Amino acid sequence: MNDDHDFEHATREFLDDGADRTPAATIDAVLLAIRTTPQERDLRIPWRTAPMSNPMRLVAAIAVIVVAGVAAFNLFGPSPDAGGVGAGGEPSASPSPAPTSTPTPTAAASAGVTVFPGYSDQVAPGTYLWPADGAATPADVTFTIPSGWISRFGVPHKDRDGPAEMAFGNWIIANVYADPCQWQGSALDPAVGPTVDDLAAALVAQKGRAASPPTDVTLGGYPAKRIELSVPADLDPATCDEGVMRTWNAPGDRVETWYPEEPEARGLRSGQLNVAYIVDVDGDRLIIDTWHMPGTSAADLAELDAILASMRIEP
Amino acid sequence: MDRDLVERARSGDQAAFEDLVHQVSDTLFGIARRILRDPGLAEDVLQNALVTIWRKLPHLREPDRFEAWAYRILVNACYADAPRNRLWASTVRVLPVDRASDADDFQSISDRDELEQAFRRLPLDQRAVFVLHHHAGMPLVAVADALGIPEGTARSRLHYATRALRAAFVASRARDDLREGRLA
Repeated sequence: MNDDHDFEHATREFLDDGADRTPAATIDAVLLAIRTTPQERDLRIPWRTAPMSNPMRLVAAIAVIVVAGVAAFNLFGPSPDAGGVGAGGEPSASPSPAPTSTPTPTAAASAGVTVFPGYSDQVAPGTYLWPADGAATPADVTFTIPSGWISRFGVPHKDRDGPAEMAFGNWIIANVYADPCQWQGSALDPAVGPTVDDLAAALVAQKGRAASPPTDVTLGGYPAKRIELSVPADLDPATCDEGVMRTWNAPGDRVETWYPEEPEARGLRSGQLNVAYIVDVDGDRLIIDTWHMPGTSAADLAELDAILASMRIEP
Repeated sequence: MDRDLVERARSGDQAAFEDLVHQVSDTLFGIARRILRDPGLAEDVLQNALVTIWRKLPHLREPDRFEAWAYRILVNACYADAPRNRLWASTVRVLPVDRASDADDFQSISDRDELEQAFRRLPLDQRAVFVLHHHAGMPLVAVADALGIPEGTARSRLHYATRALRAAFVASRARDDLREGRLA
């Protein structure tokens, strides 16, 4: 058997499988939508080519101020999302579902709170929703964030890849790897038990990560266990299976992984400090996982604590 | 890509944009479908991406870069619009029953199923690089440019994706050989 040739052939068949004809209904929907969707303005200030009189200078100065103000609104106003339509770039300005001045077509969620965008280089401050989906959270989770946060894959980040990085995400954990570095074949068998205490014990027992004793807290109105976990600063990712570190996996084998050469895709960094909140939501287990770096300031950590304090969980 | 068409659409010409949609939608749909592994979700993502392209066209300074720019919007829409629980939607494969099946057919189907499962375990960003490179035929430098990432990052993601798929494929073949008694 020629593995390389067979693999290339199989990969080619795999990629060629299926039809690429766009359904007519999809095109019709797009063409209908653009009739009522204005294009964004591209503000360009032309170069001045002729000498200006004093009155004209005054008029020009006023025009520059007006244009700069509009540009600032476009850059820092309520719709900063760079990626997709209806990706949740319009937050509610307060816990009550008050509409903003430029509503996003598909932003409405069950309680009128905007779904947190999956991808954004500038998330507007406000209250957001992670909707219950059975894969990442068994219940609706709302939280309020200030300015300065971005989104990658639905996870809020600040100073991503920087020395002061911090972030927080949500998980439903199916199983835990006993050894996050040599994880192949180390998934617990039988899988980790369903309770909060089962998961807390499994995380504390993980090889190669220092863990604090679990402490009882309340998060989002529900009882939780709080555990601090660290990634060794001297961890050599090349020694880990497939060059990645894996802590746990979720239903459907969604994994928390770390790709050391790909900061855009990684989940864990050398020296990273995690604080995991294992929440008991009426018998369902939800993990709110926060992480920061040694360089994260006390002020930023206080900001993260305030975000956690704003969380509400609604089954 | 017709530069004049892009320029007219950029200026608000809806008829020009309609022509543009007809020219690019199948390509974009094919990419989204392969990344997401869910035709229904790919339709939603494509729809959102095309409306975003319309909205943001005035920001495209170089009409000749339309394709790379559109790919980035599409991939970002895949990241943004794919709820996590929908990434693992199962796809029922209808097996043909009106022709004789032989060992090669079963092997081919088995290979595709194994690659499907392994592909679904890949993160979205690795899938995007893999699809743009191997399906759309883009060189890695063009993939990196389209996605706005360093070329080394694109190369690394492709490496990890390929390695994971190959490992799953080889392991599956070994299991099949063992079941059929072909291994000592």
